[in-house]
Amino acid sequence: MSKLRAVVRHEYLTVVKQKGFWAYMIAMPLIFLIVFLLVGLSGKSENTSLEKLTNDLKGVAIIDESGLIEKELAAASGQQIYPASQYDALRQEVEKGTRKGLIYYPDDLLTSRQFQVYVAGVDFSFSSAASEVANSLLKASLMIPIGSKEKIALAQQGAEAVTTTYANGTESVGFARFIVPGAITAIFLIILMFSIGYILTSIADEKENRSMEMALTYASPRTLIIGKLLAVVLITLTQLVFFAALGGIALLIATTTDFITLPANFDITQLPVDPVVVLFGLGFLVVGFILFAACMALTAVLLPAKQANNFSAFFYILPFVPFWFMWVVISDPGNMVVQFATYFPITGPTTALVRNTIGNITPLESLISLMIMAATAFLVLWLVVKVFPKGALEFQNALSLKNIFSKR
Amino acid sequence: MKSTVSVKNFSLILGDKEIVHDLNFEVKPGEVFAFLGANGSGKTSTIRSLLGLYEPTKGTLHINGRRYTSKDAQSVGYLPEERGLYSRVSAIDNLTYFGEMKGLARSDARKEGLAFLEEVGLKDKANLKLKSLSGGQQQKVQLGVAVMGNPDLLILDEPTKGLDPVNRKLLLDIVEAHRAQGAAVIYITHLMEEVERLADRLFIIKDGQAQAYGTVAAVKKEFDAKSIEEVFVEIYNESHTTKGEA
Repeated sequence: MSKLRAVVRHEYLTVVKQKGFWAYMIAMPLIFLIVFLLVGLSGKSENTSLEKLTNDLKGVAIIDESGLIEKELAAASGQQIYPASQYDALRQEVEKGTRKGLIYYPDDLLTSRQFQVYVAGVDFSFSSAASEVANSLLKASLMIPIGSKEKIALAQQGAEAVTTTYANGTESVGFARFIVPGAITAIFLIILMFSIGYILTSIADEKENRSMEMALTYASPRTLIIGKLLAVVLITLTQLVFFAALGGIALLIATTTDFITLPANFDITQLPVDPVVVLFGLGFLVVGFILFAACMALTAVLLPAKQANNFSAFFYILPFVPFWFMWVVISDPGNMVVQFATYFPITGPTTALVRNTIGNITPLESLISLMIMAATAFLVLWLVVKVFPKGALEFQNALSLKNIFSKR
Repeated sequence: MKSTVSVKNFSLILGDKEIVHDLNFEVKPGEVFAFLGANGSGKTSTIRSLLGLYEPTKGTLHINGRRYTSKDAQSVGYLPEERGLYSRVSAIDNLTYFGEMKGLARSDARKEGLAFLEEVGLKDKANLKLKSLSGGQQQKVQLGVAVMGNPDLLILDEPTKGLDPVNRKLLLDIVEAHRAQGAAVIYITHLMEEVERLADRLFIIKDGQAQAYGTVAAVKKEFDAKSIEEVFVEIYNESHTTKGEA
């Protein structure tokens, strides 16, 4: 037990004492934050640009030969309607650049469904805005006969559908019910991307720096493997606590400032929790974690460090395959491909977690998938412990199939 | 006197190749036992089999009367031919970790590790990452791992390889000190003057087969040679049948 504790402590501290570990942990959310801020800043700059654009658009002249444009509307948006006799003069002004633009609605607009927009310069955003203003002005003018502002707004923007869904004879809680199982799925993906690789690195490093022979002399393969697995669990927990703390800070900012907008009536303490869904979600998370960690360990044991790193990409790509046909996973859970992805051990955890989140997997399907995953994880772990001493001492070479099952 | 190491009728086949054939030898407490042979002769495979890393195809290999497992880690100190500790971990943390693996309490392991570093002149480098130490300094740390806990058996595979004369002497003094305390030492080397200086008995193998076994003086006499180097050269220059008795 003390050796196991020593292995766990050693593996854990070796990783968390690395500057690279924290740099990576800080860099990822930082990148998200920078992107978030950039989007915010670009929004602000967009607002500033829009103000300038609005001012510029006020200098755009309008000639209406169709008779469809409402003068009051044009005036309200800052444009002036000129008589058709000034068409040539106004167009020349635009050509010379002394006027920003001219919108010309011809008399055959109803049949041709075309109007002209003349713009000075090559400013794409201005020419697009001028066209948009011309179109909006036309639409709004046409809608005035409808009557009230409300009717016009309804005709222009449509109405929002408020959906009520029923599950098992009772009204379901809508989107909120996805949050808890969705968070479990997200945690699994974070573990898959950020944590599982540490076990491969740990074994590959020990092979490469030749410390493996010493380690195996003083500790059993089982102690070393279990120690590494537990260390990865601790590393994962450290990462999750770190990310959760950042999430907490973001939530605090969201609730105390208007910098981040949360959905209306959002209350984290009132999130609905379906025990069966959560239980299976956690099952997929834990068993999936053990399965992938064992697969990574096996890869590191069987192959030399470089090859192991290359081959491990397999375990980063395959679990994401279900996301490539997500629509089928959501809309047609009985589809043969979805069924295969649910039960195939490497794609199983992600597929089952996604289906568990959206609620289109039955408890029986969940149970079967979980059992297949657990059996595979156990088999891979058993294989890792069996071949560990052999593969660990093959510093430069891959372990052949013959060697795996030989007596040595 | 009861043997610390007892190898009987040991053969090892890896893949399709017989690496070791029918080896027999014993190592007693308080002796330095030179285990000699050219590269690829089967020495490392024999040691790995003795330490339970390989399963013998035939025969028995015992330490203190039973097959070695990691539960007996405190009784063994091993400096493998393939050197390596954790390069991103400090010298003292490496020593402490392996001390714990050998069954010492963490505080004792750390205390003993610091004492060893002081003995070999590396106390000021205790908290430096191993990768920042020189090759010779790293080798001394690795020797520290082997001798931690005062094991009954020290297995040192080319321990002075790459060391300067000063550090070589320091290392040989440490080996002699452990012998004086009653430890059995299996000493693998290609430097025959070290064998002459240190070894009580020796065992030479060629292509996995025993060639010479006995006290240094007896083997020299048997081969009518003035030095162990002459014996070694003779064995490897011609086909030779097993000679010698313990």
